[in-house]
Amino acid sequence: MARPKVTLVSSDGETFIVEQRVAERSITIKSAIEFAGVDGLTADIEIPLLIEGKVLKKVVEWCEHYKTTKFPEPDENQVDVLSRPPVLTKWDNKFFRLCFEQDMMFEIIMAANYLNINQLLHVGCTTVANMMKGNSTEQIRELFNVPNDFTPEEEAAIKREDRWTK
Amino acid sequence: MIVCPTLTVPATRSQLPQICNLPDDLIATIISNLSTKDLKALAQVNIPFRYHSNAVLYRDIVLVDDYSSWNSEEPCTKCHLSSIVALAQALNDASIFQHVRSIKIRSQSKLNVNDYTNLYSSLNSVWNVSDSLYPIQFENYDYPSIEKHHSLNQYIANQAIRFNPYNCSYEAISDNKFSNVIVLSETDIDHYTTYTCLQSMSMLIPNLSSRSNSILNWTNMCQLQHLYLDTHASTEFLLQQFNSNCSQLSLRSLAISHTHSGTSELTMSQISQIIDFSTIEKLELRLGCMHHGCTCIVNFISHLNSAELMPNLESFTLTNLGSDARSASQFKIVINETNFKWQSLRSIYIQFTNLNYSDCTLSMTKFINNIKSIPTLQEITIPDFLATYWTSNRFDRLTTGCECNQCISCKRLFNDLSYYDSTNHFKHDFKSNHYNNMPTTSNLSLSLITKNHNNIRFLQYLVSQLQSQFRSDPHYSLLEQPYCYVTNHYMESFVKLFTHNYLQSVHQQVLQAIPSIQTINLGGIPLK
Repeated sequence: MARPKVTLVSSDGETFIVEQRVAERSITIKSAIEFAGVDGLTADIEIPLLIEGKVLKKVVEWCEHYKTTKFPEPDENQVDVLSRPPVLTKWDNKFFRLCFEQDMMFEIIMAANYLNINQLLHVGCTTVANMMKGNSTEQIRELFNVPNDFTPEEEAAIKREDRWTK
Repeated sequence: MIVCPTLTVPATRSQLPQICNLPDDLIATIISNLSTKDLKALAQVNIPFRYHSNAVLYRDIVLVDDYSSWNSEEPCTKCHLSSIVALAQALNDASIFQHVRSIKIRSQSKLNVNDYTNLYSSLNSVWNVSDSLYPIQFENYDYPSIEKHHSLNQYIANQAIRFNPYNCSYEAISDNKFSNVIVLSETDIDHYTTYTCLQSMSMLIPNLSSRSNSILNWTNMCQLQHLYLDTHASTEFLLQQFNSNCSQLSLRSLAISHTHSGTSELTMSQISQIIDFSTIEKLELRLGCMHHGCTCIVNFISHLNSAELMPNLESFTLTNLGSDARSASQFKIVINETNFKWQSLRSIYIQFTNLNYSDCTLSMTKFINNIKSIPTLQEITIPDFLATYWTSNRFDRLTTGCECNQCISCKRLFNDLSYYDSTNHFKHDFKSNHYNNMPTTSNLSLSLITKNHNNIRFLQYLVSQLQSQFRSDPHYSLLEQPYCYVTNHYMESFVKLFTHNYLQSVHQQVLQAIPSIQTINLGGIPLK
């Protein structure tokens, strides 16, 4: 008998049929599958998600790519599993560069957070941090399209306040 | 086909997935590994980023005089000494100060002694005006500066008049090397609950007499619960501070240290004006006397020894500060002849110091008789019990008597190690790889321990090792954690040897007289 398939349905109705192990990269989906069949999945399952199709497509792409990879388990003693930056592969860099160009970087990070895909979240956050590094305030605003909401007086006060750091 | 209900999504601030709309915890994760320079740039981008960046920038601040001098694995923001004024100004803002978790001063005074008054002033002013509690960890290792100017504690104590009653708490830490900083542990500054008064206050505050009034504000002391006068100087200091307008202190724990030299006898009439003994639960007396034939210690303790005076006393610690027979003879009277009357007493700790005077032998039998009327007594601790003034003929008592197999093999080990030590210049280096393969000669492996120079020396070493488990820093009171039990592979055997041969019988004697006893610790060997 063929293995049961998992169908992920995006908020705009797009469907993605994936292997169970691919879907279970997400702890949220894994819990949903376990909830549906306590003794293991015996029939196909359809899981509607509040994620746009184009974003879900990228998330599925990431999960497919890493379906056989074993990531380190979160250490119980380590309070924040995200506190140490992960090693980014070339594939990760290319993946997120494309996501950024397609204006989906933060949607993917939010989707990873929502679906509880620890490694994807971890890699996403590190990519954003890496993009910030070495940039001036103005460059960061430009890069992430963030408007300046300080008044000129506030800006002058902030510069005075921050003099103590190198 | 199974169809799941739609998995719920956590609320987001806006439908636009811009970076600023990420949840706070994700932004915090993103910026957690950024350098100070990057954080500073980010802090000037917009209001949300300023908040998140400041939370990291101001969390752990280390003051340095050379950026490369302080390398810690712990994330922190370094501030150069030359920027201390700017830092102090920034910290004046409570919305900034709320992010601070620790400030560590790692800069060191060189030819010019650093002055951190600007920083102290900012901390004080935020604590002073704010109704919120902003506890921080504060460490200052710049000792020349503390000596010349003041510590944060002293600065704040000097400003005490301006405290408001809802103020902050903080913790000041001094390291052991420089144990003479006034330490307020996790203390609400305004409501002192613990005040440790150490000897070198006079060193830190050169003109003690002229400035002392501003150091101890007696009205701030009324909430004090624990007072550790750890040295003679600190006890004298408190006595000087007291005047008839001061109210009595109702303490839960009290340590008094005093040595009677010259005319400075400690009397109950002096102390009872300051201390309300009825609330005392833990009392430590560290007393000494320099006068021949004096009875000051005996008198002081006999005045305290009343069920009515201290109905709540649970823990009593008595330490001999004297270094010769003058104190020892008084302690002998206290131990052998004082019938202790405190009816709530649960633990008693007697430290007599390692002195051996033939006329000052203490009697365990008399001591047990003197404490057996206390109905609640559970714990007796005598760190120097194995010293000769408690145990006459110590060598024979501790090493002979029991002939069980365990003791016989332990006696062989004793002989072997003692012999090994004597051939190894008494270095006491007993790492197992050193002596495991050493030759043992038949005449040295007898199951009898002969009283010879090597064996006496080895026994002394064992006794001192066991006793070293007790804290014996003369600058600190013993009321906190006086003992830690350590084991090592060979010491365990000798603990059994001493217990089988002698201590077990003492334990039985105590148990018969005082059935409520749960633990006695004799010389570092706990018996239950």
